[in-house]
Amino acid sequence: MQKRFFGLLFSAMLVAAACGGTTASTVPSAGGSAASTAPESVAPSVNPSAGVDLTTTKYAPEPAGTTGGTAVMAEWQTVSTMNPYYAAANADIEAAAPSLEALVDTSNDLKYVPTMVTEVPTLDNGGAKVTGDNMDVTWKLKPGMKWSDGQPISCADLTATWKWVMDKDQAGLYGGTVGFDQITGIDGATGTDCVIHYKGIYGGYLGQFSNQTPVLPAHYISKVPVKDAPKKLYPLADPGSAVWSGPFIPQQIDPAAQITYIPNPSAESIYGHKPYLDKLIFKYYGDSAPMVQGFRAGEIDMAQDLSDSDVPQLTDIPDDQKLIQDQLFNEGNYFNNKRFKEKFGEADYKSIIRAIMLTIDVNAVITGPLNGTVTRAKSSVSPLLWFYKDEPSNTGNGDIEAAKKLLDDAGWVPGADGIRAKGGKKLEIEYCTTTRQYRIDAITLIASQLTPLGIKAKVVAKAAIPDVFGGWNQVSNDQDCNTQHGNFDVVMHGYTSSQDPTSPYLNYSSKGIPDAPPHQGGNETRISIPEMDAAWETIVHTLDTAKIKDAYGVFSDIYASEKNTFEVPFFNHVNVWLINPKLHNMVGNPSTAEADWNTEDWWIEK
Amino acid sequence: MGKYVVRRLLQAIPVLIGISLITYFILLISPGGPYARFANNPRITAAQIEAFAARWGLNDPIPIQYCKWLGVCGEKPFLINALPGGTFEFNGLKIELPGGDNGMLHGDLGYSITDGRPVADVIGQRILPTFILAGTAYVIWLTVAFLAGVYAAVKRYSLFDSSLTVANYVGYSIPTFWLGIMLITAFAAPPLKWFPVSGMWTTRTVPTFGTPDYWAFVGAQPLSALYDLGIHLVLPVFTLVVVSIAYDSRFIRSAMLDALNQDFVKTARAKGVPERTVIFRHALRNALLPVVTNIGLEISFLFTGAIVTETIFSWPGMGRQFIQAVDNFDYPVLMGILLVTAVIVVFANLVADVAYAFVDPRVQYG
Repeated sequence: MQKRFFGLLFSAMLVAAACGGTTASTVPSAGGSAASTAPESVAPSVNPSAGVDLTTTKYAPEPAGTTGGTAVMAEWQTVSTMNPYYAAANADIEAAAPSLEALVDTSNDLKYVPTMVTEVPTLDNGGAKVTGDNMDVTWKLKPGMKWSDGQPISCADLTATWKWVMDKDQAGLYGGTVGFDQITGIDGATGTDCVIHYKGIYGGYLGQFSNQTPVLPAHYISKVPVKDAPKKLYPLADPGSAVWSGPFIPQQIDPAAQITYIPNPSAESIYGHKPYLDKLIFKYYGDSAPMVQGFRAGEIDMAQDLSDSDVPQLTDIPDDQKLIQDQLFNEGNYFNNKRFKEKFGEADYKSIIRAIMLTIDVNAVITGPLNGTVTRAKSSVSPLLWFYKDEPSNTGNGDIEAAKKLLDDAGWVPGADGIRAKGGKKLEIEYCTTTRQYRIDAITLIASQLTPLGIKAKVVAKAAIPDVFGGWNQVSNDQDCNTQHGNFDVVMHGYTSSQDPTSPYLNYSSKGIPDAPPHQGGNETRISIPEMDAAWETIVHTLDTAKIKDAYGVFSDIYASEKNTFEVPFFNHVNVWLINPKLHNMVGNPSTAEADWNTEDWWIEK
Repeated sequence: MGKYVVRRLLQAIPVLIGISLITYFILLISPGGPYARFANNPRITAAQIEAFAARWGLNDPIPIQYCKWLGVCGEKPFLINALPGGTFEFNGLKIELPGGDNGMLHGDLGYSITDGRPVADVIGQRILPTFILAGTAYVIWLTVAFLAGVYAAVKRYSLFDSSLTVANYVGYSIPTFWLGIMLITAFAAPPLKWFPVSGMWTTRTVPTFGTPDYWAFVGAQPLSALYDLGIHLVLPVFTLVVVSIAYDSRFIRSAMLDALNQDFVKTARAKGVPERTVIFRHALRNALLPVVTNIGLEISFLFTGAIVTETIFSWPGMGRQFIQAVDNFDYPVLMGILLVTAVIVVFANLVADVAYAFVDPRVQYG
């Protein structure tokens, strides 16, 4: 059951079970650290004239009409840690968001907004500087900031956080050490101008200390040996022993029932004002249906972690109490070029894939198994992201006649059983997905769409974990439908985008094909297109947003052309929040910053 | 009797070890694991997953993992390991003793892989809520089942008996999750809103259950606290009672019918013994034997909870904890809960056997 998650900073993730929980639930494939994997031979192309504004947000909180009161937000999955570095689920990130602050927040319009700093460092304002193959980023902390115990916040905390992440005894960080492993040093000591030195161009630097990766207090984390951190740092049983920075600090935690937060006495030093609420409560339900009923009954002021599948059950709730936004989580069908090539030959495999891509009717999937509650996607890049380029969809339109022509031209003719064949080979493919019902329904529908084309598709549903998304060493080499080992012809699953433009790098670059050691790339389709490779190399070797956008344009052009034999985009999932109209400034957030990213601005009418 | 109890307790030791051995192996051979959360996460390297697995001892062969969980294997000799945690000095030599995750034989159930808390704390926090919910339901359903079962047997084939039979089959057939949702929809959601939708206390006004603030609230406003707890119990208890009462009432009815057809009952009636005495002194007492066995086995429910009911009603008990642990492959917590369950079942069996002697004087242990 768990819906969801994963990583704001986390590179492109193929989220399979994404949702539902569970926990867990999910999982990824994908990208990787651009900086850590980029070849040193590629010269950085840096142009100080950045072209895209990543920091000016339209978010403008409504001035507090009143102060005091209690707001109750709710989830249907429970919290397992208050330390977001170990958070593997949305519920964990949501629980920590009011209590631990980062240098910047990701706003609801996906801009980087300063929280603990005076400005967001960019090429434009000189906060980010590239020198040769290296880069330096200067974060100017707001003067006078204090931790919840009154200790000053300084660059020493930034340094301690970096060293804590990189400690040899560290184990279990959900975000790994990506980006932190690019840092060679942090200057600033106990001052407020912190200069981070990187050993390469790291395009994800803006997200490095945001949301899930807050700054941790040096004087607190030094008390707990790193090897004991998962057990003893930010303990659920004793939140009062920990040191916090967010607008609220947890007072009581019952991981199966609720967290009660009270205002952080030092909040004003960071936000310029005290939190408007007297108390914030995070209530945990056992399932989404009771949570919705709890909202109807007035038990809670905000319900989160609902999505498109919940929409049909919410028709009685007035529109002004529902907030529906596109997620950065979409779904598609992914074609294993290597398998098609092996099965049907070098000369024909691309035509066969294209024929399938043309035949698929995405709209029928959306109006059928998805009940029309999602929006059609044109790309794996979310339209919400600044590097998205709008292109027409030339696949997934149910164009069976064009598909038939492709196969006819390639010499694949229908046999007596209706299945096309050539040279004794039949057009039979394996269509995989996870055990989520709408996905099974979707590919079953697609299989029926392929029948008149003369292709027999065998529908196979496997557990997301470990079968489909299990890592190279976690499943056997012949695990059916496993994406890392490439044991599928076509697979349907979800994919979570990120504001970090470098995150999909290893999903589409030929360097990310996982067949070669260390078997970690996310290029499950085994696609290798030289122009696309070149575009990705540009993306991961520059901080120039204009160049990144141009390179994404190249990628998008290929994606929308006949060269795309790797992916059919399907639909974008939506987030749904239920909000008491008396609760103000709860504006949602499509990123994994989560909807409670701005609780310092929340206020509630009495 | 004393020797019998001691003998049974000693016999329980290999039984419990056997149960723990089997459950441990079943858990660990199932697909997935605590590191599944990192599967294919591009930000995590194989070495980092390896480090996580090593930290929790997941790289060891299953027999070694079990041995460590048991507390026989470890870095320190078993006898030292068997001492309580802390340090002590021996001839001026400071010796560090284990304390924390030294194994089940030391009364130590380890740490939750999911949230890092000691498993004993996790279970300890969950037992009381489950005991309150299940205990209330248990008392109500046994009382009702007992009365209804006896009355149905005495009034066999009456309208009451037939109605009870139908009601029992309906109740027994209703899925708990469906009934729970329906009750919430009908009585907790608008327009009625007679009862809270979920939880164990009123979120906005009552402190978190089990905290010092909560007990202070109970001390200051005992009636309000009792009312608040009571009103949160109504729907989940009703759910448990409806689905549980059916089996027990049928069981009691059947046992009572058997007893009522015995010769000694006919003899008693022939001798003119009042019907009330025949039923309660002669028939009922004999009918109690199988019922006691059944009740004994159901005692474990008081501590292990009702997984689905606790989940639907967001009751922070053992059942809900169990589901969370399953979701997260949290082996130490799962083993802790399963071990507690096994201990209670074994103990409840013993209690039931001992209770025989009180219910039926013909039964003697020695």
